[in-house]
Amino acid sequence: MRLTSQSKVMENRKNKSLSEIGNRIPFTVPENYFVEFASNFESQISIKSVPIIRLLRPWLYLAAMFLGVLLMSRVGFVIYENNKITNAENYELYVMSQVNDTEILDYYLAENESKN
Amino acid sequence: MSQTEVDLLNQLNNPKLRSGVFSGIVRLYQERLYWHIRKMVLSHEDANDVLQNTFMKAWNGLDGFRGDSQLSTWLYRIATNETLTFLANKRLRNISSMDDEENLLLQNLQSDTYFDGNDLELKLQTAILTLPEKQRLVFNMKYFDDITYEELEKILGTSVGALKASFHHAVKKIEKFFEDEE
Repeated sequence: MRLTSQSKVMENRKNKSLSEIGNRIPFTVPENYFVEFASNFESQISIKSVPIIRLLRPWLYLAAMFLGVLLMSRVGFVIYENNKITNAENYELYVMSQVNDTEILDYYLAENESKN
Repeated sequence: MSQTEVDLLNQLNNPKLRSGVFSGIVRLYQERLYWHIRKMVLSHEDANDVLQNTFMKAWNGLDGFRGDSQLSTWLYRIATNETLTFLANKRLRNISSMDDEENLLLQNLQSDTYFDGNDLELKLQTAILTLPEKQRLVFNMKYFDDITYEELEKILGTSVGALKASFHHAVKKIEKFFEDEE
């Protein structure tokens, strides 16, 4: 019995500590904080919600990809053409290196004669 | 879900009204969510950052919100996750510090110009900081905001029984802290 009343006293003392303090939130905020927060946030999402950009974005990606492919094929084509010309020039030089000047002169003379 | 929330959700589906309606939601819930966050991170600057992230996450995730839960529950859940992530990141950043995170929070609180508590309230905040993070959440939401256990269950995804036990243990620990201090 004595123990029970003692524990009750203890319990009351314990509960008192929290009830003494209460549940007030001991923090403050800068003046007009909530008004400013709401309007700042509103301006942020207004910028971010421009629908035309969102709608155009996939088409812009597609166009950029198409241009990229076009550019790459053009570069590939130019390289291929250059190689072809270089190969032809190399072949001509090779053929010319296989004959001497006298033979070339004879060839031109024979050709002129046949024309005349 | 209340009729107001259903109306709000319908308006949110209209792209032309979306940002305006969401701004209304921000005005409606910002104070509640701010205090929810502030009680965990303690400093105003940190609470402001987390609140900003919370609403930005909600704004970007609006398409994913199907209305299965109340709008307020959904927002509370985002705010809670953002707060816990913020505290975890802060703990990682301060890992090399000699003091633990709770001590740093307490030191910042003592010098915070936006703390207007008396000695007892400062002692209570110190006692709350001794609790594990999840228990701090439960204690704060129950003790300061008096949120029902059913609502807490939806926000924190923990059963009512576990929440009651958690709150009970938190109160005991805080009382013990006060007893030891005397």
